Amino acid sequence: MKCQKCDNEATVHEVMIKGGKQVEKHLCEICAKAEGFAVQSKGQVATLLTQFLATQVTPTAQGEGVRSACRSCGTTYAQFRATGDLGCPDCYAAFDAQLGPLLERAHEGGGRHVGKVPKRLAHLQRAAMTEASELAPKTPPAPSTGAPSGPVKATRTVVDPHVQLASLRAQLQGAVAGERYEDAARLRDQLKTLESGANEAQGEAGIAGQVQGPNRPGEQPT
Amino acid sequence: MSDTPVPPPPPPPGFSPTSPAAVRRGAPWLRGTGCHADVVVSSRVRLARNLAGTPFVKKASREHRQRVALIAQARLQAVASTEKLAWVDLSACSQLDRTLLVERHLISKELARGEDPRGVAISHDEQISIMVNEEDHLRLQVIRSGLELSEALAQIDALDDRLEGTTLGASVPILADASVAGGPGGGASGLNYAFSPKYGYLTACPTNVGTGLRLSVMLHLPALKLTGEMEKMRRAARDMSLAVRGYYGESSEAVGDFFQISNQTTLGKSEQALLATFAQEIIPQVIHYEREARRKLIEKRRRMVEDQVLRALGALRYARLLTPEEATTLLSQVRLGILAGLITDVPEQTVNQLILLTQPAHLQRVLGREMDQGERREARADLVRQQLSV
Repeated sequence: MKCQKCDNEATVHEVMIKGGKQVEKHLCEICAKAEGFAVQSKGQVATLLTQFLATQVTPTAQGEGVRSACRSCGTTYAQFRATGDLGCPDCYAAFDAQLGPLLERAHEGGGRHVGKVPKRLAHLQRAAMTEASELAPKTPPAPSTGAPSGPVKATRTVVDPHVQLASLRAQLQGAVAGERYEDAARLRDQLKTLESGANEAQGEAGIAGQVQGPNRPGEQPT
Repeated sequence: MSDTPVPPPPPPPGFSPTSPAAVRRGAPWLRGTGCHADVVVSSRVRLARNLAGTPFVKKASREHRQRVALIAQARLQAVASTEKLAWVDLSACSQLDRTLLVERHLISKELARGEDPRGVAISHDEQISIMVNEEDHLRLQVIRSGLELSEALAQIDALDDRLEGTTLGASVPILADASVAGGPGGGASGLNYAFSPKYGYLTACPTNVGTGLRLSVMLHLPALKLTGEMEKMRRAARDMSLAVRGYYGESSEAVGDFFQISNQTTLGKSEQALLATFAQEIIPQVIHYEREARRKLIEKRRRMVEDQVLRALGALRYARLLTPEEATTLLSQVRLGILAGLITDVPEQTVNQLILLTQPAHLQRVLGREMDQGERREARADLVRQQLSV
């Protein structure tokens, strides 16, 4: 596919639903950068990590971010920047704001875990699977029934939002891989809604989803 | 923390991964068996795991490391009979034994270096090794001959489950039995891994976070090297976010046209998705390119290849002094000669195992004496000559 702005091969694709209308953009890397897309430059993750750490000059990182320390082990963000090593599992929560974009870049856009879950948390995985099957698009969506997402709402109340998000992300990946862009756009919108909800619910707990001990409140098996 | 030392799991009778007998047998992953073994020497899968509520190894005090070692040993002891594991306490190991385990790819150079509490559990068949107190509290590894990544992944997944030890969906937290479990990280009844639903399995270096999974293959690519296409391959691999390393992995140079390729992305893709891309799309392509390069070389430049591989065989058969690098380089060329049907009087298995037996620590253990560098060069040439004699 050709870039919509020049004759180069289009490598960046965006599908958006604006006011119920689907808007597609297909651009080459150069034009995408000019449009303000964050185009992932390719390279070894380790190199990327080092470069990113070395060049990160956002106000957060230079200001309070650098001085902030993990309450559990005392590692500061500046120390992490210098060595590339975190001090303890709690550092992920302590430096969540700074780590998020870094991890997304280092892992080719993958900012959230998809995959195996410890068995002691398997109930979360099972809930995610139930959720996924209920959220999965029943081919094709039938707008004429006029019944929005009633059953979905009912299920959400018993599902850990993180798991639900993970499940949606997995579906989104599948949709993108299968070039089902309309599904992808719909899933992305669902994700956005859920993410904002999850963030509000989390409040000041940062990545409250962080499970260090099994006694996390409100996480009884379903 | 419990101060009662837990005795290490007893090795199965007669098994020691550093014994002269084990060393002479060579490494199972160098058998030349398994799928696509003409190009894929071995497949390796590893999982990085850490115990909840415990500082990562580099930040941990000696006491913390000791505790991690005790918890891990207690759990390893509990699964030792199923997995047929032998525990090697590296802090009490000689330098030679440590180097032997590095040469056999059972531990990393990093684990071999320190004196703090550290160790490795190794299965009887040497397919499994579990490093304790490396960069992460636990590094689980399965290594097999040929392209067997999906088998290795299934094996390591089951091992990971057994180490974790809880039953599916268990509602009783491990901490409830803290006196038995030995603290927040778990213990004899099961390990309590550091995990976050957002970031997955939490690791000391964020480049491993998520699945903690590294898939890697050791490839023998002499034809791509000869045709000058290796650089192209390296660039393509880098573009796909794959790491290309030498024979000993991390920061080692490629010797004898052996290259290790591994995934770098661990977050945002499931284990199965990583496996599918790596083992079913990327590696088969590399195998195809190498085979094509071999075919074209034989078709168009047969004399040149014949000359090169037979000269290599000649050098190995008549040399009186050999460095490990020279031995590996020449053995690599002889291996190409055997696989291309140009050398018929040397078994491939002999060449594969010689690649390992000519390494410094293996050479000394096989010959039963410690030697300086000069003596080793002589002994190496003698061993090779004897094994490849007409």
